[in-house]
Amino acid sequence: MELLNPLIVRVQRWSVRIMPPGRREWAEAVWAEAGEVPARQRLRWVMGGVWLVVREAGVIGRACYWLGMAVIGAGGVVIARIIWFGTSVNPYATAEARLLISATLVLLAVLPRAGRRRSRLGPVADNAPARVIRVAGSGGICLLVLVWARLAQNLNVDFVHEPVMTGAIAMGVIIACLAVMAKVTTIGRGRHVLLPLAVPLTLFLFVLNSDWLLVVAYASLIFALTARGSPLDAATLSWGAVAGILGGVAVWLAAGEPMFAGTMGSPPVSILVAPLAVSILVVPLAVLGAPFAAGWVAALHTSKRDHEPRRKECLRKGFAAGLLTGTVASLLITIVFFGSMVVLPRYCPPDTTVPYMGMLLIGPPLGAVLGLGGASEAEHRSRAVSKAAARTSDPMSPPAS
Amino acid sequence: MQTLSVVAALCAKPSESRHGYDIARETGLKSGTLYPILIRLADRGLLEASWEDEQPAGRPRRHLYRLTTEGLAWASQNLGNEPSTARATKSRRSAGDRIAPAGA
Repeated sequence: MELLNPLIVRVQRWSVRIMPPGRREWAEAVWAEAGEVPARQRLRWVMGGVWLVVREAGVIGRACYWLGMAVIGAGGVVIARIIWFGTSVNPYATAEARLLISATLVLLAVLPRAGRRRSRLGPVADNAPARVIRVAGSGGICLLVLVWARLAQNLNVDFVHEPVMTGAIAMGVIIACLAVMAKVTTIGRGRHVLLPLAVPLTLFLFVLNSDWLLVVAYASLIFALTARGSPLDAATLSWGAVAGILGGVAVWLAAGEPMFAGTMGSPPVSILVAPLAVSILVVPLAVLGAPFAAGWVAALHTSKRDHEPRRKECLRKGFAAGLLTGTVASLLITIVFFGSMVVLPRYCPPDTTVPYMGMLLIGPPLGAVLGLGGASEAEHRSRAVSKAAARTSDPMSPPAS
Repeated sequence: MQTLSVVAALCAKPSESRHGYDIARETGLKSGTLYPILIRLADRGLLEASWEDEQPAGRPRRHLYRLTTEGLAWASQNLGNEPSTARATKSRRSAGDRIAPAGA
């Protein structure tokens, strides 16, 4: 049993390193008593201590997060392979698509590393919804790039550039991003290194392919909203994401009548009347209602803080919740519609991607504004209810003017 | 149920601080079950935790636990108003500010 003592010392060091600061003394308490426990029970005591550390430090959640990120990374490599060797009716499209997927993969590799440091992008908040949204969002971005690139390769939509030029630029982008990643991992103050490199790189990419900036913006938004410094707590994150998914699915079901036309038979004109009428009702309701509801719920989950007035906090949370809803819904709708065009081109004719690009651009800010409105309304009502309750409990108070 | 057994163990000698292994021995709980319960009780303000004042020879200082006034009140409600618990609550309330806060 003496062999356990070096193990206890090692586990003690490890637990002090990974436990949250407010919980460290509890781990130390378990190790302090390990020596008092009779030798035959000591291993069980140590295992219990390890379980305490695993539980309190959220080790399982962290492990699942990094496992999820690894799966996304492996999936991204598979997607890159599909795109890299994909045939194309447009010889320029494959080169452009290679640039897109290479740059996206590097971005998704750089962001989690940058997000490990305390900044606007990370580390990931210590709750399950934040981890799930970050992993699912990264997967969604990979999927978006896949369907986008396949659309360009198969159906000759967008992307018109010289292949040699884009190939060279792709290599330049990859090298620059790798350099950034190397700096981030080796230099303590990563943010100071990232910023001077990220600004010219972003401008360069904007000149090269402005659409890719949307990918960067979405990835950054998802990382920022799920970071530890984000104003969104676990409940608000969950509600925001669920509202986004429900809104996205509602829009897809209501506006996706070409797919139903395909399953129900042609010509679609006669049956399009009913979905069109439904669309007119459902689409605005989903687009406007989902972020509004997310902002409302965010306001209801706001507690009064001493250092900040409640109204300001409500609005801040509502804004962020609406932003998340708009981001999730736009990403989902675009993936599903692009995917439909790739998989079912007969029923979803791929005429143009411009409206979807517009939606990706407008979705998050529109969601943020509506979330703000929802939070403002919820806060206003809650204040009115509190005042009414106070008036009822105190009959001597003056009547409301 | 496990929480109640821990609280009952701490109620047995409410004026004395007890260490984790002592409670584990009495309740039969493993460290992986006992300490999360102690943490939750401390988070809710029902338990005060402190380190031993002096460094004993040959072993590290222990972490000691005892119920706060709120903890004793909670215990008297949830343990079926046992006489010893009620007495302990009364004596702790009369002691008032003499009880040192956690970490003091």
